[in-house]
Amino acid sequence: MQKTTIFYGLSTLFMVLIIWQISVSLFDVNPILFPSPLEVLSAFYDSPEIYSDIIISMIRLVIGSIIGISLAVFFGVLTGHISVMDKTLGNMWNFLRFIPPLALVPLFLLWLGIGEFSKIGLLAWTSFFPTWISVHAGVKGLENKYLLVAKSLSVKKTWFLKEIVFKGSTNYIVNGARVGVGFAFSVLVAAEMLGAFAGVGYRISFLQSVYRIDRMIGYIIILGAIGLIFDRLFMGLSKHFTPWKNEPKN
Amino acid sequence: MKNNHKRLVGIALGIIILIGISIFFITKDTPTGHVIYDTTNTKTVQLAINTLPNSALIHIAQENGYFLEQGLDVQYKPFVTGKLALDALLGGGADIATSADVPITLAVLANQEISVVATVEYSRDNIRVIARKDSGINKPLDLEGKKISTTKGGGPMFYTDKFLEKYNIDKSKVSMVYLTPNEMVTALIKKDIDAFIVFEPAPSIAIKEIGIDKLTIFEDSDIYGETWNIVVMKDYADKNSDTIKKFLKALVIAEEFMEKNPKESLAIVAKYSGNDELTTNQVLSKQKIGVVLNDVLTTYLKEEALWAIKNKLSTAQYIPDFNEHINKEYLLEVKPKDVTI
Repeated sequence: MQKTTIFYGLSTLFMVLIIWQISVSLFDVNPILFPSPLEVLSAFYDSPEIYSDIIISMIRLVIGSIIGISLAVFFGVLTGHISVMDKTLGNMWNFLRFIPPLALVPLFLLWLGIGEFSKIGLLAWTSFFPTWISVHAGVKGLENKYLLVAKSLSVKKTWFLKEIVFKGSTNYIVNGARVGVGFAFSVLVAAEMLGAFAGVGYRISFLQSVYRIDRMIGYIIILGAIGLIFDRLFMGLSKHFTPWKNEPKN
Repeated sequence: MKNNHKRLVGIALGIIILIGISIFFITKDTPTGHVIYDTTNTKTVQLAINTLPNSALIHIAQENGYFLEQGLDVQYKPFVTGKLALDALLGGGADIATSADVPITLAVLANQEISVVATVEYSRDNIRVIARKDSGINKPLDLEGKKISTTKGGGPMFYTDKFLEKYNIDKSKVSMVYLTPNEMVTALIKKDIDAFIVFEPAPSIAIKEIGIDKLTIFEDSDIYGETWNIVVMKDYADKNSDTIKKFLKALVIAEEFMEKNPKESLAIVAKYSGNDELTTNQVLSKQKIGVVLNDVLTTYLKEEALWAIKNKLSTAQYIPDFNEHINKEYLLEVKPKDVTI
């Protein structure tokens, strides 16, 4: 089954590359603005800083996501479990989550400066809301029978939170985090425009400004590939932490 | 049921009123400070513009109605840098753009079919290095090990490389941060960066905000000035040569007005560029404003092409013939004495 999936995936990739190469060769396109796959590949050899850019971006993404997801889990359990918190804090988060992260880029720059705080802060903000809403829904949706049984057995509050609430919403936590990290990826380029001097997002923005589209496409592909790897990691985490749930097929 | 019905009607009325108010404001004429003229029987021209004082002649022509007198309804599409304005032109979002020479060089090296039809400003002192004294910067070599900001893909980036080269500053020991001019001023105030290198008026604003006694300023007019140009796509020029001539004609009239009415011109430029008159005057005093086409432009374009190829900012292997991207036909008809290219 896994071999079939890999086969289909690689075949699709191969087809896309062929169509891309043929299109560039057949149509009268500007090769600088629309480079072929081969030109993009050769541009990789022209990019010695690519490895350090990837590492720096991943560090920012991981730290920002950990902060965002941790806070989201905490607040998600709080607002999902305690009615007053839902009506106060929950409503505030619901209001804030509709503010596009990109609209906050100038504010983050003003408040947190051009150092790592602003970039990591923006990534944390972006990954927070999808995770929070998922955890909140998961906790709120816990079956009432578990709550009643826990109440009737007079279990300790901490045990109840850990064994029932937390474990019962693990799937929501992992899936919410998966979406949250996905959103953070989409904001990485904007985050690294906050005065970065290295990173995948920064490099994409810089290369666009000097019309090095061949290298820019290479970086965009790398960004997509890393995003896919992260997504698969989350799927693995989901299977590991919630073996009793059936993972929906993609 | 009746209450529900009333509520629905109330909501619907509220939405209609809101839409009506929105339509009123959207279709209301003119942005702030723009004079209302009758724009019927005119040709619309989308102008991607950086509203810096560099665009003085355009602002004066717009304010005094010179474009409209020529039958052109010029609509501003403002951008924070000339590079972005040029990108808008390349992307088909504008008919005409203002841009400095470096973005033009990079676009030509990227095989973009653009044409420069006039230079409207030139300066040798427009770009300055503004550094904080408390970062230990008193001479150029002190920039080593520091965080410097400039804009990417534009004249300041070219100037920065040339400055570092001239003063034997090891580029690998400098942390380069790319920001917009406004962001640079904020970052310098907050001490997030130690210095920035950019065109006016950001240096003047930083001096005003931080204080000249706390700053070290480097000016080297031998390195590079900057030209400010009117750029169009070649195919637009082929189909709209009349429009371009009229546009340039309006600028020439604006130039004559500026010579005879410096005070009024200063007020107009300050209004459009969003700076106070003192700052605007400081900027304009360093600039040569006029509609020309001369060899300063071609010299810079060639130098910049060499720099871009050497630093792998372009995949081009050789310096192109920039004369193919400068069209003097229009200015020759409007102001032939200043076409010396």
